[in-house]
Amino acid sequence: MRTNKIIVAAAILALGLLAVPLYFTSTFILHMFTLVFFYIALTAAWNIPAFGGKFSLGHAAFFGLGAYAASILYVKYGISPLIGIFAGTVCAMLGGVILSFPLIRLKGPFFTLASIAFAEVLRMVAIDWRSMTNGSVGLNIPFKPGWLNLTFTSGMPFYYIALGLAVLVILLAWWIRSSALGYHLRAAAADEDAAKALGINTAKSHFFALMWSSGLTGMIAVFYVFYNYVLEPGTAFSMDLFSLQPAMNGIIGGMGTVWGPVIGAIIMTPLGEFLRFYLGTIQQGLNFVVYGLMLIAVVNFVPGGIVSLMAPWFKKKKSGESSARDN
Amino acid sequence: MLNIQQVDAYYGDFQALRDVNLEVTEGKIVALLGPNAAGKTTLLSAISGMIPYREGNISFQGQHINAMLPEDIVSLGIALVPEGRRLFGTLTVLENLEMGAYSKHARKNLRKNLDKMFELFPILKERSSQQAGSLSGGEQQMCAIARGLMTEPRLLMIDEMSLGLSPVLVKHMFNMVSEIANTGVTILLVEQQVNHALKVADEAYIMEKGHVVLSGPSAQIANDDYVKKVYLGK
Repeated sequence: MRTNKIIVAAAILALGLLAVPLYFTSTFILHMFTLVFFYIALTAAWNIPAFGGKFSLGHAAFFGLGAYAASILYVKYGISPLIGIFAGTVCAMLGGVILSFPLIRLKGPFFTLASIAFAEVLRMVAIDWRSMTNGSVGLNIPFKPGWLNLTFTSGMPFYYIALGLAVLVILLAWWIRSSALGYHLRAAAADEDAAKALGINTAKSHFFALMWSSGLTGMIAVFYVFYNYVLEPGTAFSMDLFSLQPAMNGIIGGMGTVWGPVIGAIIMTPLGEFLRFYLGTIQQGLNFVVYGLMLIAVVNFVPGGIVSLMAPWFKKKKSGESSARDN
Repeated sequence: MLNIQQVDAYYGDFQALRDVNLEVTEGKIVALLGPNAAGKTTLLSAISGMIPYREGNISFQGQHINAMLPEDIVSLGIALVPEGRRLFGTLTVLENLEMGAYSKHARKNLRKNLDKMFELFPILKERSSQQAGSLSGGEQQMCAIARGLMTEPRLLMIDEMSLGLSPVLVKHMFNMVSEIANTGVTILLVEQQVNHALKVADEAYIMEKGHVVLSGPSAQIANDDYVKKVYLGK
């Protein structure tokens, strides 16, 4: 019965989300929803290595690689972003491969620091490689509406694209977490040495997790760029937007869980916009102070993230489910 | 079965193992005894490929395993039950056991081996959907041993099994070890409970300050004057 209830609730939620653009015609609200979906997707992708306890602050690297790959193909060579999606995914994944060889055996803060450096180096490359990237001026996506160009006259298509991306990445993350890979990652996160002593190839597991994560991040980036029309190194490889923000959403929602990133992104994205608008105009940077305080509060008082506060509720549901199945 | 010759191991500049020689015969229970910091755990780590070591030779069933990765050593049939159980606390008991079945052959026999473990340790079946971190110390140790057995080892190495367990449980666990040995698994037991260990073991090695100071059949070791005086308090 509980399972039925969940299906009904999910159906209502799905219909509601599908209907949002029909009821809210305000571009701001539509933009807000779209942004939340993008961040759910980005955070859920960031979170995959976190199943194995790897805390990355360099996901801007994969974001930038995906974004630049598709944009350069489109702007310089006129190749449709629909192909660019694949190019972006593959480029970001290659970035993941390159990064993983020196990094995969690093633990804890060492992995995190090295990942920051990787993204920063790529940002420098994007600034200096002018013939390809136009340097700091950046690339402008020409406004030629059409599906082939992933350019639209209203915000509605991107609302649905971002919603689709969020659902896709959540499902993938859920599938990965409950697959053998997910269990190996969770074992590695709980006790890396014990996992190795059982013969689990933890390096391999971390590698595959990073492949999924980097590839998905690159793919999301392609859509994000075409949503925003403009791309420059400071944004594409932005530590704030694409390294720290997903990590923070993840921590606040609940790192290494499926729903943590969703909750984190839903809370933090509108809050971030709101704070930037109200506090940022009073004193620049004040919004970051609030952000920082929130982060400290969560890490101190709810280290498992908001999702851990909801865990008892989830557990009850789960046991109800299994008993229903037993009957 | 397991042959260790002149093994030296270092942590940085500190030499943890000096010229260690050890032989484990198939089908036997071998006890590795000694005080803290004697190098017992280091030796187990060296066997299971967890630490690099500089000199010497370790072979398992005639095969050199010196430079092998931990996962390859496990799939050859050596399992380590680490000191302090080291369970995956956030996973359930069942999930912990499943983690032991990583290699292809172990994965194939997963169901069968799980049934065996639940037969050997019935309490684990009761607790199978519980988080491993919520188990009592004795149950955790059983879970850790069962998890090790899920890799289908021919040699099971157990590090400080009795650490932190009540005397009654310690006795029970040593009985379990004999039972496991009866199923055809060779056992290398690192222990500080010298008394119990010498009772169940066929052979024993005493390590001190990184090398083996005494070895032989456990009955002989138990009657050794030095062992009596230092380890058995007689």
